[in-house]
Amino acid sequence: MHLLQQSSAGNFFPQIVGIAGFLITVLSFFFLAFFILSRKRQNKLVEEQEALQIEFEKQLLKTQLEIQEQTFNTISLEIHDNVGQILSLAKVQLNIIDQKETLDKELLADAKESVGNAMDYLRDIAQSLNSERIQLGSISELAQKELQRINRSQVMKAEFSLHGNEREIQSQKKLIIFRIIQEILNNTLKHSKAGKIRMIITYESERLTISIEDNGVGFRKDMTNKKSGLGLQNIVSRTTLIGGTADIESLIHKGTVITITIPI
Amino acid sequence: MDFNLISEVICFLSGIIAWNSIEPRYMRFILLLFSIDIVNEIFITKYFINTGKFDQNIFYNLYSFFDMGFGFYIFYCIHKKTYLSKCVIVGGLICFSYTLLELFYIHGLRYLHIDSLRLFDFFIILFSFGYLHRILKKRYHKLLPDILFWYSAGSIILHSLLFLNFSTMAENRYWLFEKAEDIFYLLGDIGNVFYFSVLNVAFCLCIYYNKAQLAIFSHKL
Repeated sequence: MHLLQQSSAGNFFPQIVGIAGFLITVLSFFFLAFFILSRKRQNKLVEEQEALQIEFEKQLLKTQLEIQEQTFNTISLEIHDNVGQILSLAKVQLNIIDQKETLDKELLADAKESVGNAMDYLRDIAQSLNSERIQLGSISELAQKELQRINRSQVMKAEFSLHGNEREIQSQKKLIIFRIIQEILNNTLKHSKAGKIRMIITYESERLTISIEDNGVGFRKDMTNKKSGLGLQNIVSRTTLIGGTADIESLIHKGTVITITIPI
Repeated sequence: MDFNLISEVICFLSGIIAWNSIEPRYMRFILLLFSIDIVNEIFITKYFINTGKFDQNIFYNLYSFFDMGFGFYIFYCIHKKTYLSKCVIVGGLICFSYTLLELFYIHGLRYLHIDSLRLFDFFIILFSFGYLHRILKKRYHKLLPDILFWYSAGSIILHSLLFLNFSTMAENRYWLFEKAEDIFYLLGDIGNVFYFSVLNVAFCLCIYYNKAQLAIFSHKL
């Protein structure tokens, strides 16, 4: 009452109500503006995430097709270069045995070994044809098989080492990691002129590191040609797609080290 | 110049133009409320209330049932199939019961039922915030074409100011101040003009987004 009487003299109280009303309006206005902006920001974030997801699925599909194509190429080469050669050799050996009057047990054993080798190769090919091969194998198993292929080709010597306890990785992610490894190995085979290649896979608590090192001719990043540059770009973009980083270091006549770090 | 009436008429007209584009359909009822409001302001107030043929408070007390019923119905539809729909029903029942109590037992029909109207304002603000909260929880939601968002935003400001105005009405001594009436009408005008402007924007956006959708549809065809 005292306050009301005091205020009455200056007619101040209605103005306080007016100011309160004005403040309510202004605060509501700012609240709504803030609400609209934050909603807009969240919408943008969701749109970006969805675009990334679509891009991821596109890349995954592309990767699957590339792996399929690569598998067919490998099979074709294996049949032509290995199985075909070995079976031809076995045929020659059997012809010689057939022409001889006495049974040459040593030559027969050689022929048997050749047929056995051909069967081994065919088993490898059959495994390659299995679409679940990548899904079933671990990263290190798949990588080792690729390195064994390189060793068999005798183009260069391949070494492999694994550190840490191997952990299960989501199949889609694994497919992309495998494709990155294949891309690096293909680049090395095609361009490095290296005599030795070494792959180190390290499993840490929250990340997987794959380091591929060769002693080849190396390159300067600004001197890469269009095709090999595209290969390197693919490695970087695929690694980024699964939330990882790719570090490429190369010295002329010293070799190249590519290190891929992926969160797991 | 009666800003309330002008902004309400403009809003009503844009609502009529946007009639076919208004989604959800129950929001079309808002135009019915506006039309009755406009008839009240232009004819009933002028020819009956201002001439003393009908008691102003009795008229507003009776009309408030329709107004409150409409408010609760809209928010029931907005929150349908969510836990808030039960809150709207309970809130509505409390509000109507208290209004009846105030009109027939506490103050009588000749006095404006200020307390229950404040309770109504409080519930409307609460349900409006409830809708904003629901939007906030969604992963993706476009605000501009959402007429319910604009309705909730307008309701928050209008009913906050109405709550303040009704609170001043509850205190008789306040009306002894010289500028009390001016402030009362000023706040009422700000609230109403903002509310109708926001709905006006919402109706225009309804037309705009409906046309955009039609364009996409015809392009697909």
